[in-house]
Amino acid sequence: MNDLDISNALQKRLFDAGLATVVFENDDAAPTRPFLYCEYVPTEYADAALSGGQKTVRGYLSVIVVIDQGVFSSPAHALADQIEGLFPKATRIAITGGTVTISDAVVRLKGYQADGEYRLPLRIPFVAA
Amino acid sequence: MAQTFTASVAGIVERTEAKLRYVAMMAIQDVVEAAQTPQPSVKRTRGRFEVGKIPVDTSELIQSLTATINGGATQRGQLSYTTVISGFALGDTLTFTWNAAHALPMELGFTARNGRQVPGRHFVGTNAAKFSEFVAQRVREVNTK
Repeated sequence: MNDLDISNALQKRLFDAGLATVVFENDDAAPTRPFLYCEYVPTEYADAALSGGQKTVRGYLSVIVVIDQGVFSSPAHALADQIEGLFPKATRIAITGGTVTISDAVVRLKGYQADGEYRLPLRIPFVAA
Repeated sequence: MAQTFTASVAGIVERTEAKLRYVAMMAIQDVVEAAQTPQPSVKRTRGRFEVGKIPVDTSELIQSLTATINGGATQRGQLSYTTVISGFALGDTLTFTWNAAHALPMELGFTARNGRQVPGRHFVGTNAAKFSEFVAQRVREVNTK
């Protein structure tokens, strides 16, 4: 189990749903709105076994729903609702050498306007072991 | 005898509350201190940056931190959190806010002029997520004293 497996498992679930164009980190694409911008953010690494081999990774997948500015926030919230539906708490995704579990409810942060767009941030918390 | 027992229990409660306050206060401070750990702006690092540290160019963002306790008087500045945390009592609500206009784009990312996505620094999100880890570290510290 490594970070690439975890990141791919979470982002593939979002990509396969086909809700909107998905832009991944370090992707040079300049997509048209609406689109979803994804970042894999690990926050804690641990290994419970003295001899190693019981790696646990905690963190969140940051998903920003990006829509045009000036069209109200409802299109962004509608997309966010669908994304939340893809990652209910306790969802388990099998990966090589472990499982990624959605550890809590998806957190929806306050949306904001920036340079002609409206961005609604979501955090999808996970633990992989 | 009964009075001695009562006094002993009161002593235990007092010591336990002091330890609880210490753990809470220090773990909260660990989170904000980590979030306020500066890193140079990408202008000086040719685009390189670390996730979990606050970028500093003009220092507007790092200085925009405001801290309040129970919605009372607001402290502002890079080290404002230390003043507020030092007055913390169990049950208090502490609020930390970065008020600079570019705080959210720096935390969560933004779209550059060429249309590409600039990743976020997550200086608040990653450190807030470590709160339980910081608490566990402080509990170990208290238990070894």
